Amino acid sequence: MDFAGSTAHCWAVNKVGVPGYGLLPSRRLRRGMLPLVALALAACSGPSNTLGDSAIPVPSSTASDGASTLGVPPPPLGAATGPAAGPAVGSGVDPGVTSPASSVTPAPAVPASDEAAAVPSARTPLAPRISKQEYTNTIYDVLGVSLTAEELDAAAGGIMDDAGDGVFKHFTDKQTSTEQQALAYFNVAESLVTRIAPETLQTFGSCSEATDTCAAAFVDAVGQRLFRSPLDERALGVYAALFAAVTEDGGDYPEAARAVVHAMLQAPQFLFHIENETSGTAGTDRRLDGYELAARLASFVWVSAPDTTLLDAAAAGKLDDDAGVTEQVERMLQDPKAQRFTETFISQFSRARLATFDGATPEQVAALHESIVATFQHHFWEAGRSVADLFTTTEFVVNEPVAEILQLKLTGTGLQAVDVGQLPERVGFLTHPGMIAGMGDRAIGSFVNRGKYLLERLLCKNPGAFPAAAQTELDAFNRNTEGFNERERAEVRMMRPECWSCHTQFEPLAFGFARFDAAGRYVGEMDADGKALPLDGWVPTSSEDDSPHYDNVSEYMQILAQDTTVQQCMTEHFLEFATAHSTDDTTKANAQYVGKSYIDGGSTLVAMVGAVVQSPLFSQLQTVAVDTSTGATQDAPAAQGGN
Amino acid sequence: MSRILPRRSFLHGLGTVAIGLPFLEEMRPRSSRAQDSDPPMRLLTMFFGLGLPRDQMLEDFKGPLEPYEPLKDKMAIFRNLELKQSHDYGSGEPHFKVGDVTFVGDPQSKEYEASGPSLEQLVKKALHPDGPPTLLGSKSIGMWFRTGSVSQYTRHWNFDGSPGERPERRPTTIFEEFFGSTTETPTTPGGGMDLEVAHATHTKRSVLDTVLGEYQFYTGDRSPLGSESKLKLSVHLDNIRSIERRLVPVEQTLTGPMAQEAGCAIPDGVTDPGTDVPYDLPQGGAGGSAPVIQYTDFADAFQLQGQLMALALRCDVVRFGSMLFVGAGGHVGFRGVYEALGESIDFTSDLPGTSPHDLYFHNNRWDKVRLHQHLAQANLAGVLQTFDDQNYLEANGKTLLDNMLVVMGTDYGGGGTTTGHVPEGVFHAIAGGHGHFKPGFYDDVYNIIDLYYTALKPYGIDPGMGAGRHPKYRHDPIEISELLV
Repeated sequence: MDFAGSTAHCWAVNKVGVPGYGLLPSRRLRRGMLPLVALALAACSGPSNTLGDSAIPVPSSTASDGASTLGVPPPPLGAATGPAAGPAVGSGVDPGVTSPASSVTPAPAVPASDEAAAVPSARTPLAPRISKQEYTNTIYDVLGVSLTAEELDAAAGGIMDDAGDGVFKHFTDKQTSTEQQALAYFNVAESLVTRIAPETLQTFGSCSEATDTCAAAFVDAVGQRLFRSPLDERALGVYAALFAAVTEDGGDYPEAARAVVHAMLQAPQFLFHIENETSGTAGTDRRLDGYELAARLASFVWVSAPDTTLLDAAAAGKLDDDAGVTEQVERMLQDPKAQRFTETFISQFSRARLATFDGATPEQVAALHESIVATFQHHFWEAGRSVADLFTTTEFVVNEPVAEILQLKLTGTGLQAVDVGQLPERVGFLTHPGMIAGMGDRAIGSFVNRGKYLLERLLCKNPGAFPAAAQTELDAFNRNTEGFNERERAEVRMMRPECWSCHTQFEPLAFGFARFDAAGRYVGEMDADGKALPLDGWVPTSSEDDSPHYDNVSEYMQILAQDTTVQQCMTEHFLEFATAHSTDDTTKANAQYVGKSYIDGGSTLVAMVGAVVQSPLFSQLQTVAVDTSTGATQDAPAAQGGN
Repeated sequence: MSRILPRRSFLHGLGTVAIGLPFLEEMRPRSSRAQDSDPPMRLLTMFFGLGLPRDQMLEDFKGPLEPYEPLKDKMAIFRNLELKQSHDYGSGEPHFKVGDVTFVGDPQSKEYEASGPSLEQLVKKALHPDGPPTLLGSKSIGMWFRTGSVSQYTRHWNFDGSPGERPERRPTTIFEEFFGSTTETPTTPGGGMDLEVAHATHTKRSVLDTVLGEYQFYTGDRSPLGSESKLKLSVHLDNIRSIERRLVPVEQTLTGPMAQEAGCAIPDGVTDPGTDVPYDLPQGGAGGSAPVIQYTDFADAFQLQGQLMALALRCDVVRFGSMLFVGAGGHVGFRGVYEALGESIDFTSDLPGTSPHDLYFHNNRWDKVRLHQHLAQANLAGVLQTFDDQNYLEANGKTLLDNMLVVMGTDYGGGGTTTGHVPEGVFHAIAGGHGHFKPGFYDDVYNIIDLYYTALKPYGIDPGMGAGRHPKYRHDPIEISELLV
C-alpha cells in the first residue's frame, strides 16, 4: 500500500540534528542508561496503555493487496467535501489572520508503512453506557429539555461525571456502575419529564387520548428516538403496559406519557448502546445494521441520538453501504450539532475546565476553556487544517482573560482570532494557555505533572503510578532540592537511578514548557531567582537513541507535527473517542487504516471523521457467542435488533 | 473500663418492643443441628480509617484496643498483618489503593476498582446464588465525609470490581430503607387517605418495575448481548435493586409475614442525632479542609447506625453489609475533649487546622493518635456490644454477635519510629463467628489474604484470592490453622 507523500516525513527521516544538550547531567547520564531502557519501559507501563510499543501488530485478517475485507475500499470522505462549514467561532474573528500552517511541513497522520494500512478487524463488543454529555444532549434534542445545574451536579444528587483513567472519560471498558448513578438516573429523569412541554409530547404519536391506540403510537414514536431504533413487539408491550397502568390508576395522557419517558430514560436501550452482539457466527466480523450504525454515528459526531433523518436512512437501508454512510456523515457534519464533537473532544483533551492554578477564578477557568475550545473548533471547522497543523499553528481564538494571559491587547470584545506567532514560545495549540492550565499545576509548572499529561496525549502511554514504597525517598528528595527550579529538580531526578527509568520517559516532554507558569503565562527566560530556564529537551519514544531532540519550542512542535508516533497516537485518540473504548491492539491496527484514509481524504478533520466511521472498528463488530450462563427462561419473544 | 460513649437513644420505642428472632440455620441449638459446622449466615465488615500503630496495639488492652476488653473472648485480633500488595500494584493515592484491597485481598485492577468482590458479597453469592431471601441484599452504612475517591468510603465491591453501595449516613434514611415507611397508607392532614401521594407512589413503582424488567430481559437468556455486556448491565441492575426501597418505600415491611412470624416489632421511628456537619454534606475535603464535627455527635450517629444494623440483622431484613467509621485516610476532624486511658485530648486545640490524617501519617504525633484511635475503637466496640446484647438472645440462646461473623479492618500499621503509609503491622479482627474461630491476639506475620482465606474456611469457599484475580499479583494463601476451632 502506498502512503503517497507520507514517507518523506516518516520516523526514519524525521530525526533532526541533536541539539546542544551536552551540558545537562541528564544527557550524559542517559548514555549509561541505554541497556536499561527496555526494562524501564516495561516498569513504567501503566495498566491501561502499552509503553514503547512502536511495532504495530499487523492484523491476521490483512489482505495481501490491502483491499477491504468487505470488498469495498474506503472512499475518501473529506476529499469531495472539503472543510465542513461549522458555525463561525465568533463575530470578532480577525479576517486578516495569516495561516501559520503554510510555514511548516505538512505531515501524515500515521506512520508510513506500506503494509500497515491493510484492513484490520473489528472488536468484540462491550455495551457502552452513554456519556454524561450524550445523555444531556439526547434529552435536549429529543425532548427539548435542558438539564438544570443541580441535575448535572453529582454532589447534589445529579448525573455523575464520566470517570476512569485515560484522556477521555466515557470508555466502555473503564465504566463502572454505582448505586449513586442508578439513583441519579431515576431522580433526574423523574424531575426532567415534568418539564417536557405538552406540545413536545404531542409530537410523538398521532393522538393524545388515554387510549391503547394513542399509547401505542406514543411509545412507538418516542421509543424510537430515545432507543435509537424502532421498538420490537416485546418492548412496545412493556411500555404500553406501563402507560396503561398509570391511566388505570387515574392518570391522564400527559402523566402516563411522562411515566413512559421516565422509565425509558433509565432503560438499558437508552442508557447503553445495545447492539445485537450474538448475531452471526461467533468470532467473525459483521457490519453493523443501519440502526446500530446510526446510533454510533450520532454518538460520535453529535454526542447525541440520531435524528429522524438518520433513522429514516437506517430504515431505508441507506447505511448499509459506505456511500450511504458518507452521505449521512457529510450531512451530519454540516449540522451545528457536530460542533459538540470537537468541543467535547478538546474539552477532555485539554482539561482546561479543571485548571487549578493558584488564584484561578471560575471566570478565568471558563475563559480558558472557551478559548481552547474555540481555537480547536476554528482550526478544524473554519480553517480546515490538519491534525499535524495543530502542533504548529500560531492562530489562537481568544477572549479577554486569555488575551491578558498572553499579554495581548484586543481591540474588540468576545472571541477573536489572533496570531501569536510574534509572542515568545507560542507555537502550536499545546502552548495555548488553556492547554497549559489544563496540565493541572497550582503554582509552578511541575515537569512531572506536565510530562505525564503530555505523555498520555502525545505518545498514548501511561506512566503508571508513583511507587508508594519510594515515598520516603521522595520526601528526602523534596527536602534536598528546596530552592531548585523545576529544570534543576528534573536533572537531579534523572541522575537518581530509582527515578530516571520512569522520569526520562515523560519529563523531557515538559522541558519545552519551562517558561510558562501554571496559568500558561510566559515568565521569561529566567526564573524569579535569576536562573536560566532552558527549553531544550527530547521526545522520548521507543528508543533513547532515536529520540529526536529539540532546542526550542518551535523545533519541539515541528517534531511533534512530523513524528509518526505522535500522529499514530492522535489517530488513536479519535478512534478512542468515536468508539468509546480505550486503545488496544485492535485500535492500533485500525489507526493505521484510518490514517491512510485520512491522508487520502485530504488530512482535514472531515477526512478524519470519514476515515474513522469507515473503519472496521467503528462500522463493524465481532460477533460473540450466545451466552448460555443465564438459565432463566424469559416469557418475552426473542429480541429483535437492539430492543 | 468506664463507659466512654454517649448512649443516648434515638430509637423511638426501643426497649418496648420484642426484637425479631429469625430462625436461621445457625441458631439451632447445637443438639438439634444437622451439622455443628454451619457457618455464620450473616456477615458484616467494619472498617475504620487511619489504622493503629503496631506498638500501641502491643499494649494489649491498655492502649487503643482497651474498648475491646469486654469482648476479648469473642474476638481474634491480628496485630501484624501485611497488605503490601496495595502498595506494589495499581495507581492512585495510597488510601485509595488500600481501600480497594481491604476485605478484597488482591490489589486493585485499576484505579477506583477492586479486583473482585468484598467478603460479604462473596459469601452472599455463595450462600444465595439467586439472592438472599431478605428484603435487602446487603447494606452499607457509616459515618464518613471524605469524598475524594470512592475507594476511600466504599467497602462493598461487586464481582466485576466496581464499587457497590455508597455507605448511607443519615439514620432516618437507614431506618426507612431497613424498615420502610412507618405509615402504611399516606394520609391527609384530616386523616383520610392521600390519594395523590398514593397514586404517585404507585406510578413510581410501575416505572421501577418496568425498568427492572427491561434489565432482567437484557441480562436473561433471550438477550442479544454477549456475556461481557450482560455482566455490565447486571451490575447496573443490582444497583437499581439496591436503591429500590429507597425510591419506593415498601410499607408492608412493618406488618409483613416474616416480621410477624419472627415477632419482629419495629420501633416507632428514629431521630437523627444533631450534628454540626450535615449528613448530606456533598463533599468533604482532606487535611485542613476536612469537615470538623463534635465527636460526641459523630459517636451518637454511629451508635444509632449500629443499633439499626443490629435490629435489621436480628429481624432478618438483611444478612450482609458493611459499616464504616471514617473512611480510608481519616479525613474527619473532631471537636471536644476526649478522655481515656487516664489521658485526655482536646481535639479542638490539639489538632488545629489539620486532620487526623496528617497527625498519623505526616506529623508522627503518636500520643494524639493513641487517643484518637481509642475513640474509634470505642465506637466500634460499642456497636459490637450492641450486637452482643444479652437482652436479645436468638433461638439458640446466643447473641447476634455470637451467631454472625464480623470482619474488621483498617488502613495501615506503622507507628513508633515508623512514619508514612506502612503496609505492615496492620490491624484486623474477627468477632463472633458462630464458634468457628479462636479468640485472642495473633502476632505472626500474615498477609490479609491469609486471614480472609481462613475466615472463609467455615463456608467452604475458596475465594481465589492471589490466584489470578489481578493480572500480575500472586499469593498462595496460607491457612491460619491456629485461628480455626
